[in-house]
Amino acid sequence: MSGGGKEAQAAELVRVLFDLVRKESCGECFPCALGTRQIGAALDGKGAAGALLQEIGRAMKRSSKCGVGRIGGALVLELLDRYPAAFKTGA
Amino acid sequence: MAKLKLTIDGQAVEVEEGMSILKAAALVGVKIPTLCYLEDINEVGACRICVVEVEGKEDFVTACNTPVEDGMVVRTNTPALRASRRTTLELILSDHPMECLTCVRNGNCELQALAAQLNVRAVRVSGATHADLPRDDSTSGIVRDPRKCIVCQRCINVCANVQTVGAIELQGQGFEAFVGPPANLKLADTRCVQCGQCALVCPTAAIVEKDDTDKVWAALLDPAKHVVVQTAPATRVTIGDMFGLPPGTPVTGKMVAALRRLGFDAVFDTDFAADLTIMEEGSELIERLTKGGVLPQFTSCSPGWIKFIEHFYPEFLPHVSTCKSPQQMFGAVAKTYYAQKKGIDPENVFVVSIMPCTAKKFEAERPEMNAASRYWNNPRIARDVDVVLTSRELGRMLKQAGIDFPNLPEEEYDEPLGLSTGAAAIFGATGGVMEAALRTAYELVTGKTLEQIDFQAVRGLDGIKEAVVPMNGINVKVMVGHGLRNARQIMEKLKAGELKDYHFIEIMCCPGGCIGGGGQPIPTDTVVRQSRIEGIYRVDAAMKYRKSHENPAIKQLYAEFLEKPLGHKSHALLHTQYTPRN
Repeated sequence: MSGGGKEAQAAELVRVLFDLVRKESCGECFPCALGTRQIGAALDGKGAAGALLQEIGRAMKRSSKCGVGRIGGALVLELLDRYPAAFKTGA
Repeated sequence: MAKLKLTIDGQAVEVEEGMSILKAAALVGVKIPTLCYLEDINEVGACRICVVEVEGKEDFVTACNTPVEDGMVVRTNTPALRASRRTTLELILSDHPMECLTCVRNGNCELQALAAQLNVRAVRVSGATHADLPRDDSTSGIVRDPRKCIVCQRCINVCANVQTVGAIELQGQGFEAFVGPPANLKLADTRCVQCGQCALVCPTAAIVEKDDTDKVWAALLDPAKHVVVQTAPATRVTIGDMFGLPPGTPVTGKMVAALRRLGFDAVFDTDFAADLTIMEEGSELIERLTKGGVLPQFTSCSPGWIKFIEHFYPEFLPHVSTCKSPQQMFGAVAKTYYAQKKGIDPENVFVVSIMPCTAKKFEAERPEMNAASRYWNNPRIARDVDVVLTSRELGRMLKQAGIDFPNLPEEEYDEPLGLSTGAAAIFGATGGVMEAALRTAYELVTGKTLEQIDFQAVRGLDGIKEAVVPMNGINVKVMVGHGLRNARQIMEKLKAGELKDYHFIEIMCCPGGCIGGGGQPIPTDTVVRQSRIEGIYRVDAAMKYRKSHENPAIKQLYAEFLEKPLGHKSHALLHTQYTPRN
């Protein structure tokens, strides 16, 4: 893990985990297939942020068909909760 | 089955074990929003719009495919659910071309309706899309626009399970997932039979009929052309759907009036050609029966079924009647007999078909469907049928022309190719061709009048139907199948040698027969199909003639032109051959 503040480290960890989610997402269920695109972009400092990102995370966490999308959503919510700046900075 | 008690939004309900939460909720007046769900065909829980809360479970569950449990406490309308549904829908919309105003499904789109229902007022999400996926207009009948696809999987499942064709699949994964033929093939290069059942179930406009209305407008404007139109049996109980009439309402006379107002020079009926088909196909059956031909004989009216057997069971093509479909018989007769009778240059006769079917567009373009050109030895007569419009396309033309369909007077078809019988009308429903054939074959074989002409055993929505009809000492065994899954079952029985004592088998490609065709108004579901079938039999019962061989215009056609069924001219104009496509 590279240097930087806690937020950058957390964001990088989430990015690594989220890459796994993205690779595992089968594309069948909408919140996961479409949500991962948004989260991926947000981790790169693009697209959705703040409350909207939280809504997407929630939809993924509670409405996804399987664990992949649910974990993906939970990761986003955790990161937003603990290190909200991770998204804003683009880390 | 055990009864289970549960609570939905505070209301107690008692239902059968195995019922989905969605259906249980409907019983207490709760209409849970859905998108990908299609009863019995697509219950995959992909869209996650129908999510509900179940007490004791942290994650939401999908109402469409979660069975009720005893003591379940279900909530369908909480702030968290509303937010989740709206977010999911916004995600979908963020990857959807916002072309609603110019979309062919504008006003009849399930995605549009859902956005209204969920009170979505903005799409806050943006980002990568599927906008670069190419349009596929490689087939004659249907066009795919994957940009508008929401990957609901209805088309995949109707194609794979209802029709057992499997031309399209879920490709790729994650956000990159899309629906299409494998290996990026064009649809025309697959075993797609162009039945259009995918277009019928598509919630958006990702799969639609190929629009040929401009060709018809152009022909109607051309003073050199004598433009005639034929209307398929099934269209007379479906066109009204698009104008707010209850599904299955017979609108024959209004449709005739509407077509006349559009400017057709003559309004004719495919039913005339359906009666002609019965004369030819019935005679063919009798010939096979008496001269030791290949049996059982299969019907050949349904172009989706023909393409299916050409792809999947080509070794059994000798079982298929050599009769062209009524549409193609009509085209051939219109550009020979009719042109001659009216003293019109056959080059100038332009034949338009109104069909319940997308595969009919493919059929009309088959290279061999140019009998009139061969008959007159004139290469400038291109096709026997020039343009095929689906019911949906006709509906659009009528709306564009400002025709107030429900308030039109009832008018009569033109003669002679507009005269028909009840036997022809029932071609539109599964079992109808069989029943029509039996009404005529019985009288031709026995020489006696058939008193009980309603063959109830071959009617209705059961997948495979059978009957035994005694005729002059022969017990004629018949079978009827509709939907290609049932067709495949019948073909497997034939392959296994189990149908040796059967004589005649009717197959229709689409569930319910042509009233459920892929070109019919949307929605077409089981309830709608049932109403249309009832409408078709009402039309039959009200006809003056109900047996094809009693049609005076058919008698005249044979007397003046064809001479006799299976005669020389019949073979040249009304019969065809098939193409193995394995």
